[in-house]
Amino acid sequence: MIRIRLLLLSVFLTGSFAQAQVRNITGTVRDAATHTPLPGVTVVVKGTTVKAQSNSSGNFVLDLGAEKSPVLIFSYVSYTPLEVPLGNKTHLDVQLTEEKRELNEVVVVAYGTQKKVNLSGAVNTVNTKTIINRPVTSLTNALQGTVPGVAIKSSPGDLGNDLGSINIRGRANLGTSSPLFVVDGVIVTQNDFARINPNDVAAISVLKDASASSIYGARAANGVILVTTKKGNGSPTISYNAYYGRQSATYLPDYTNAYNYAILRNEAETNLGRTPLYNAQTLEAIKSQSNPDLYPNTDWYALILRKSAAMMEHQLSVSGGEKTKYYLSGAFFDQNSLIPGKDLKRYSLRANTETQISDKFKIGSNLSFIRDGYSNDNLEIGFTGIGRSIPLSVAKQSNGDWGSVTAGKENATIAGQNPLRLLQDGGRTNYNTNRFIGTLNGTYTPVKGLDISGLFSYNAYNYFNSSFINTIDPVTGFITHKPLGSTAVTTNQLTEAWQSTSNLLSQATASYEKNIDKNYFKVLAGASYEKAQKRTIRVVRKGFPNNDLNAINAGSTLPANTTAFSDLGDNVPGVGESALASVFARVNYAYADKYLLEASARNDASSKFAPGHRAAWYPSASVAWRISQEDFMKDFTAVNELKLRLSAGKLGNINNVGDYDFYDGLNTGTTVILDQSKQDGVTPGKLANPLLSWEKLTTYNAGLDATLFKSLTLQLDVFSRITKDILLPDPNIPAEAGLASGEEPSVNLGTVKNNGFELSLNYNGKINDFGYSVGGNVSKIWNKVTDLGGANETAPYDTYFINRIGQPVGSFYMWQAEGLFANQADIASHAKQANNPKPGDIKYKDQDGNGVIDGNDRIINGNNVPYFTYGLNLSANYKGFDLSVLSQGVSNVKVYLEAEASQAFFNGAGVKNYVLDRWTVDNPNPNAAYPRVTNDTQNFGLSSFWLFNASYLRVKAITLGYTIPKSILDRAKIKGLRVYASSNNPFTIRGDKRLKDFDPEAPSQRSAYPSLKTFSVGLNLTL
Amino acid sequence: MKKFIYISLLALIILGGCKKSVDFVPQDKLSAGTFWKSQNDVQLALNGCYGYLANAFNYAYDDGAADNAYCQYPWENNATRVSAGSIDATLDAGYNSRYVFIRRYNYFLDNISKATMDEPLRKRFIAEARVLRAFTYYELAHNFGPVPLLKTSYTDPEETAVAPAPAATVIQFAIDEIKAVEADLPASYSGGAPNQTGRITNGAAWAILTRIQLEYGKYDDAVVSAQKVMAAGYQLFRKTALTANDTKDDYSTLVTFADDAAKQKFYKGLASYQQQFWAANDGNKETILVSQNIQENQSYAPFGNGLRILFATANMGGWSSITPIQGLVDAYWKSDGTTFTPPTPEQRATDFNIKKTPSANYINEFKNRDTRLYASILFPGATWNEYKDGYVFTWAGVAGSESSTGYNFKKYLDPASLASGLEFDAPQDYSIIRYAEILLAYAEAKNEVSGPDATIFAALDDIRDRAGMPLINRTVNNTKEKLREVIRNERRIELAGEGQRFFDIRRWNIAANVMKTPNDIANVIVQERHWQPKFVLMPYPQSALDRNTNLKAPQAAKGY
Repeated sequence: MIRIRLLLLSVFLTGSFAQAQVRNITGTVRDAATHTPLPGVTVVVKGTTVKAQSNSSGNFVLDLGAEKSPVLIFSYVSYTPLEVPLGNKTHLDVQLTEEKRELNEVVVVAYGTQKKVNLSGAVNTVNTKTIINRPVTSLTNALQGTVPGVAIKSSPGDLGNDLGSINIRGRANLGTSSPLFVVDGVIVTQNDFARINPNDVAAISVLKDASASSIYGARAANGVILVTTKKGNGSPTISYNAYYGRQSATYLPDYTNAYNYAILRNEAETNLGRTPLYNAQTLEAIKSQSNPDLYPNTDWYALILRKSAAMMEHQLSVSGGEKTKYYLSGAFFDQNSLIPGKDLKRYSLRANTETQISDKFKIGSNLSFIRDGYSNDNLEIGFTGIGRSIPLSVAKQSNGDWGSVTAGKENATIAGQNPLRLLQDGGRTNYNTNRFIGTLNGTYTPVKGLDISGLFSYNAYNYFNSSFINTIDPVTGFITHKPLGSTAVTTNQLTEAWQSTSNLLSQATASYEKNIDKNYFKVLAGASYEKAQKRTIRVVRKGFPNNDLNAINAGSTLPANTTAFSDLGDNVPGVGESALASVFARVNYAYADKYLLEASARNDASSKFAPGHRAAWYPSASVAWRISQEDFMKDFTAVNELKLRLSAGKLGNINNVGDYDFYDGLNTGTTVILDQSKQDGVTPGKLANPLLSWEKLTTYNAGLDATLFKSLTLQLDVFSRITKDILLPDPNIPAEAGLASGEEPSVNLGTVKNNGFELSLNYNGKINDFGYSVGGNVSKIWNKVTDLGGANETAPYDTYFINRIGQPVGSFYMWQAEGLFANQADIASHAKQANNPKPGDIKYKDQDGNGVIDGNDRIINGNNVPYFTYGLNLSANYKGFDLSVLSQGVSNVKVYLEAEASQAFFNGAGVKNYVLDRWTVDNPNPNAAYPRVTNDTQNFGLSSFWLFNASYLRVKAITLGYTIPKSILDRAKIKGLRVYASSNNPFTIRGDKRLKDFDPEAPSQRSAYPSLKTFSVGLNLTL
Repeated sequence: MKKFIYISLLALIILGGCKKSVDFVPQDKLSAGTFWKSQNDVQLALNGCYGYLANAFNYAYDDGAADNAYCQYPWENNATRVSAGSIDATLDAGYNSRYVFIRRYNYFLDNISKATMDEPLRKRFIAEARVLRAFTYYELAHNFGPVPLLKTSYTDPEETAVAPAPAATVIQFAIDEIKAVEADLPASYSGGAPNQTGRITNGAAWAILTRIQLEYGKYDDAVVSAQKVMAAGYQLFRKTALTANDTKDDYSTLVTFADDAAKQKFYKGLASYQQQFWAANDGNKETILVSQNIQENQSYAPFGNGLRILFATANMGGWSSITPIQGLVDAYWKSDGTTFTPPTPEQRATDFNIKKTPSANYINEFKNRDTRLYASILFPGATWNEYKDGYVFTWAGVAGSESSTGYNFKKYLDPASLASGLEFDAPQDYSIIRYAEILLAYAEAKNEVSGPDATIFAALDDIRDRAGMPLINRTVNNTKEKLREVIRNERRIELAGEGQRFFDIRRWNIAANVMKTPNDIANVIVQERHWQPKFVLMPYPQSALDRNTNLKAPQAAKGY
């Protein structure tokens, strides 16, 4: 309204004083290179609202009004704006220069931004177009396949546990190697990062080498991912993005039917010299399914899991602003689980503002609130339980009672574990998390080039979980018609867990930049202090009068019925504090935009170490040479940009240290029953290491950026990363020291070297209206342990891994299976195995040739880390249509699958179909897919037999979109509308040819939630 | 530029201020540096040591690793692989977990002197910890033979990777330790801190000594130790008056009673033997060293008795994890106290007639047998009305969570806790050493020293009489050799399911004869068993070998 009034006022004023003040100016705008006239160029008189537009011949007419010494501003999309002081001229011919996008592309870097051409470190930016509109559960998963050298594992998991994990440039250490996440200048957790709505993201930069990231010092060893969220500009823009999709499993465990189960179970008994369990009559009943109340063919996965589950997202944002720029966004994400009753809802709100208070003072805020969780009327059931349910157990009898029969007999133990009954009647679960991140920042610019900034941020995370286990009536026996007593759940209980964490950051920086002739300087210095706190409480209370009550105070007040803990049931310490105090500085210098130099340093002091070992310096330096700017390159017109980069620096890592690993503490808790009651006790626990210090990483990087023929871009980086003093739980502690698992002291031990290269190529082409781009990226890392504190290897850890000099991290260490024993003679002539082998059992290789298979015969059998990853991205557009395909692959990686995941009858489990290709007496194939079946463990020793190939090439996303033509939209006053269909994980080509029913992105584990593929339709609307 | 300097100064001030703000200590851990001040500190640390006695019900698995029982789930416990003879370093027979307690004891003993406390109590606390340590070392030695003998706490954990001391040295250490401190221990505890029941008493110390000395053939010493215990006031649990529940099962079809007195004696014997293991009788006078359990109203209760699940049948909600094998069932005496001669396995299978119904002939096997058979074993046809009216144990072959031998243990199942559907949550205590074992140990040791005598018979008769069984026949068992066989069999059945058999068959050197492939009632193989002489001792686990090279030579010497 105000604007209209002004306009009216100006019309009025112009009308009244036109006679005296009129001063028209005419002119033409042309392209500087082609000299063709430019239509639609906006011409504004600086400091006024007076403006005009050039016509189709590039001509414009402007009424200057009363301006005494006007300056005209010419602006046009993708051209560099031009300011021209008019003087006394009445006619003006101007030429606008087309912006070279690459040249002016600004990249977010640590504590600021930088022109992409001026980068001297290894920084990749993510094309934000590839991360939106995909039906994925997290920002992490949306990044998969988009950046070379960034490996994202979309490990399957149920709601909230399917957010994926990121690794940049290989495993530099022996523990977790997650990068540092910085959102709008604030360090956040991987979980905070994962939940950012991709639509809110303006830019993502991945800092990969020391030069780019070492200013983040102590935590940047594994790279840094910088996210900038959107800010508004100009007239208000409303945009609405939504999709609806259906998820289904990529692979479901492939269990046999009841008949094959019975056949194999009989064979298993026979192989152990026992009598078959099921006689011909029973087998016939199973095969014909004549009496499913006694001999059913239950497909537990089909009964329990939904075939597909819905997911959808709605996101609405409003942005704009002149002096106060704003971006407000709200999103609703809804994801159903394949397990009925679980329905995750995520609400995200974001409000970003930036106000230019005066010429010298600017303040801004970023507020984000994300809540997610679900309320589930069903009990949480584990996949191990489903994996252990066999097809011969009845889920529900024909009379409507819960199943009580397994293979013709009532079985209370199995009936009591019926996962379908527990799911439906067993109880309920609720959880939600609230994440608030609020940031205030201000910048004071007393003189041009000098920015003094302060930033204060508070990150609060609250977790709440409540689960109720119902009392349940016993199952009534189908045969005896009597209740099976032990199937009743007689005590109900409520567990409530709360966790609250907070992170405070206060930071001050000052930067000064100056151009002197061809020299450009920028200096930045700052200090910051961060403090993190965590509190957790979990209370279990039993004995509620009925199953409907839902608060701790309603349960039994007997002391024995209440227990309290300070973890979430995962043994992760739930109470702690830590802080980091830091100073940092950076200098940039550029000469003629040709020679670039950058140096930075940071000092961090961490509370996680003992005094004297707390602080360390992390310096880095880099240089770059823009060869394409040299005179001698002028004739090579094919080369548009060519830059060589070199960098070196030192980084730290404290990710793998607990808050108090330096502290000599004692554990408390119940240790024994005396006097028929619980007794508190104190025990020595984790060994302290007061000498503990940083993990130090030195990185060298050489890179090449090139743009050829204006359409082919290339980025190549070769790097070497050496991590010293690696932090890990001491793997060499003798058993006699009596440390329970997790009590080993943290130590600085060993060195790991990662050499590698990353290459990304992108070609943009255009044939008439058909535009396309082809992009590929490939990354290979040679990872090797080069020092282990003088020893050649550490003792094996986590059951089947070993660290050995010269070998990569993640090496599987176990016996090498060399097929199956063909016959008794084969066994007799082979080295002695302690499992009393029979023909058809796994044969282990006698590595040392001493005739006995023992611990000395273990060798390294492959690796579980993908050190070779590649991605291929295609996109095309024709008129309003756009198509993009994103794929990712890894090779040369293995996964160890044991127990219910691969082994027949494990702990009462069913059996998978691949076991049908087993060794049998009639078909004694020494290379069969499975050894002779038994209901025993003689073949379950740690061996390469249970390693499966986890290589894959997967199409992560296919999206087909159509943008409604502007001509149609204009009539409806709509700025933009696009509709699309998208599919996530539609196809996979896998390396494994044996088991085939596991997702190759799944980690080594037992039964678990399946990985999902999704099909969705959506729209993007801009008003 | 001036402002830039100010900012830099400000940054330095912030940093200076932060130096102190990076000092944090944990809020849920005691500082080792400020601990060991008060008597309460010491009490808490000693409770940590007593953790060794928690969950002793796992000793029952040892019966499955021997010829008393079969453990059908190899993924549940090592016992399955041990009994099969599939023994190598990939299994850990309790090496790592025991050194966790050695660390606690040594830490306790090296620090207790720092606290300000009542001196006699300090002395007693030291004695308790030293007995626990001695007991743990004995258990390490009888499983593994030579083991590293660590007597003090360490500062550098690498120091613990020492060469094993010979088993004899470890055993002598254990004996010397107990003898050195037994006088500091009271005969009993009155209850309440720091005198809770369940602590090591003087009697427990001598009982442990008895067990060690017997196992290592120090029969003279064992006699002396056992006599100390026998003079300490312990007595076998006897139920003097029968309740209606005690006679709910009608045994007259199985047992021929001469008269009403014989019937009373039988039922009292049955109730006395069976009910000593029930929660209602926790802390009775027979218990010497006990692992106390409580009901926690939760599945997988950390301090519950797991036999409620491991022994019970599928229809009781159990897993039949540890089930008696035919050899044990055959070992129970006839009701006249003489050896039972079983039918041939073929005959039994025919009589049992698994596909249809057992013939009348089948049940004859269970007629007029040792009362403890009825109290300890569920056999096809056995009734248990006290658990549930009309309950009859049946068996129709291998099936999910059912016995794979044809029998289930009834011993240690308490009808009160069977009603619960909660796994591992039974409140009945588990005896580590009870008085019957001491009587048996006395009998065995004394017989080895000097042959049959009245004191031996008295000890054995006490056990027999409590179980409602006739006294030992003095005339038939008149030589050391004959009496030895009686004592060994008496020991096997009296202590069935209590984990003693595993070590008994090793020290008696009969394992090669008894670790044979057992068959079930239908004469089908239960488990193929292989025995090798080296199985007398268990191998050090691979995880320990990987970290202590000093174990390699002794491991090879053991034959692994």
